[in-house]
Amino acid sequence: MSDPAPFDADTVLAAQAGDAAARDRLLAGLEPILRGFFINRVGKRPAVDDLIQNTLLRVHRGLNDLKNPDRLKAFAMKAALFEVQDLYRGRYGPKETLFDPDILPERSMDGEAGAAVDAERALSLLTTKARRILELRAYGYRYREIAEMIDSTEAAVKMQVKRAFDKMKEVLAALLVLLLG
Amino acid sequence: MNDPLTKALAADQLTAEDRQALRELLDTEPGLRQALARWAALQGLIRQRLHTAIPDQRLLVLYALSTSAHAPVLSAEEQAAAAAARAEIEEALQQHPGLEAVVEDMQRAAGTFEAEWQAAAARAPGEDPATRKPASRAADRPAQPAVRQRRTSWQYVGWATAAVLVAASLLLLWPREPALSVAESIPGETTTVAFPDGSTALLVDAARITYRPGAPFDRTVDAQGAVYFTVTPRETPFRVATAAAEVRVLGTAFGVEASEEATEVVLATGQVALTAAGQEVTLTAGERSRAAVGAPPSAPERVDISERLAWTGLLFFRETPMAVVAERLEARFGRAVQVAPSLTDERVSGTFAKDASLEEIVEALAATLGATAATEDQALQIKP
Repeated sequence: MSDPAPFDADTVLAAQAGDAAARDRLLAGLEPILRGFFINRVGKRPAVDDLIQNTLLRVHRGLNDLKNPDRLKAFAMKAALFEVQDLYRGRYGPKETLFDPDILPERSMDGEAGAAVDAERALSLLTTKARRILELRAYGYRYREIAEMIDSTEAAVKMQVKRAFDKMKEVLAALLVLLLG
Repeated sequence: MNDPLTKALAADQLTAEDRQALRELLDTEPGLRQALARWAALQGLIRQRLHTAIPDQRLLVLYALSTSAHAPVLSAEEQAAAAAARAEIEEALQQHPGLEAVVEDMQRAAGTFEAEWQAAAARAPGEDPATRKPASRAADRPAQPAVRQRRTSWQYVGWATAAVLVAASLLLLWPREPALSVAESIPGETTTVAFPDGSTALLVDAARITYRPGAPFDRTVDAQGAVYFTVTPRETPFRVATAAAEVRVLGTAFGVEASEEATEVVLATGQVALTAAGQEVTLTAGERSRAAVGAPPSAPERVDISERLAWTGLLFFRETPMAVVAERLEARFGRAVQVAPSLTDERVSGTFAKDASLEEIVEALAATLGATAATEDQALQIKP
């Protein structure tokens, strides 16, 4: 199937050459595609508008680096995928942690070998499914999204988390001492 | 599934009522409080390990595309980068089952984008498609019809383009220039401003900031007076411009004291770049630099951030021995804080809000240490 208008190579070249009207046509044409994409990914949330705008900015800023004017779709697709990754990365920042945000990252980067060994031991108690859920959560996915990714329900995912917590309580007691030591 | 503990473990966000219910539960079960603190510690460790395994998430995107039917979207350079990272990423996938699911999700996302693109191509010119219901990931495997909200499309493109045009000083060419927002704090008081990207600014004692809140927020703020910024990490740097200098950060917390004559920056966490008079210095956590108007920034020097940032009203500890923590708490609250001898050398880090009570702080510290908090004769105690 051919590219939807107005993404023909001539329009891309004109936009790269500084034709503001051509550039606006490209961005306006991309907007509904991006809207459909992001709604599919995160639902109809206010964040969709930000995601669209950030992606359009990526395209706008990088347009002149696009060597092949026929590859706008590939270019926009990667911009949208990168934007989704940034969304996940920014979701659960330090503000979410119960206690001080700095302790764990800084200390674990220092190479706390004992803590690492103990964390492995704690994590090894988990089933692969539970570990996958905890990692996806840490990566930035919401439980509803995780449920869809692993063909489960949100309630079942949350129950797995609760079970994991119950299972790891004792081992975690040793872990924190090492982390803070 | 409705008990406070399960909500604390599994809710994306806790409501005020949820927090209160959890607080009441933890008050009756101190052991549970410790267990939750340890759980939070483990979550942080998992996050750190994922970051260590895949420090650049873009490479994971390139890898996901390169191992799917969407590989042709990669340029030659991107294919080379994906190939170079392949062994390392595949080792990470073996160690982290979650990452494997992330790669699959990225590949599905590429399919969704492709479907949206093709739906746009199939649409008749001038067609006004209906708004679609939110779709799920499970539903994105087959091609989806593209959603359309054309009445707003120009507005978003306008905002997006405007942000760039602002940077290019072409304001007059764009009529939808977002308005400036100004926030000020009354002398002697504080005001907190939340930016659209999740970052915040605490304005202290007649401080003032100016920024453009419009979409997208360009993460650029002009500041005068004493302002403490907590910056949400994003790809786009967050910039604070003052009369004397510019601070550029990706995600961190720092205090700025800016007058017409000079700007001082004290960094609480992370890393920032301070530029003035064409020269730049990089500050790491616990460092301070000062730039007078027209002069380059001073060499970073280590400072006691709890002292230097006392004007924020926040309470800072950075790798601080518990013995020192107890002394500071006693000085601040005028009550005795006793730490068991076996814990006095333990080091902790933390930032507490100015309205946090001594009891809350001591309980949090005790939980972090895996210790117990108690009150005896008005003195707060932390013991193993």
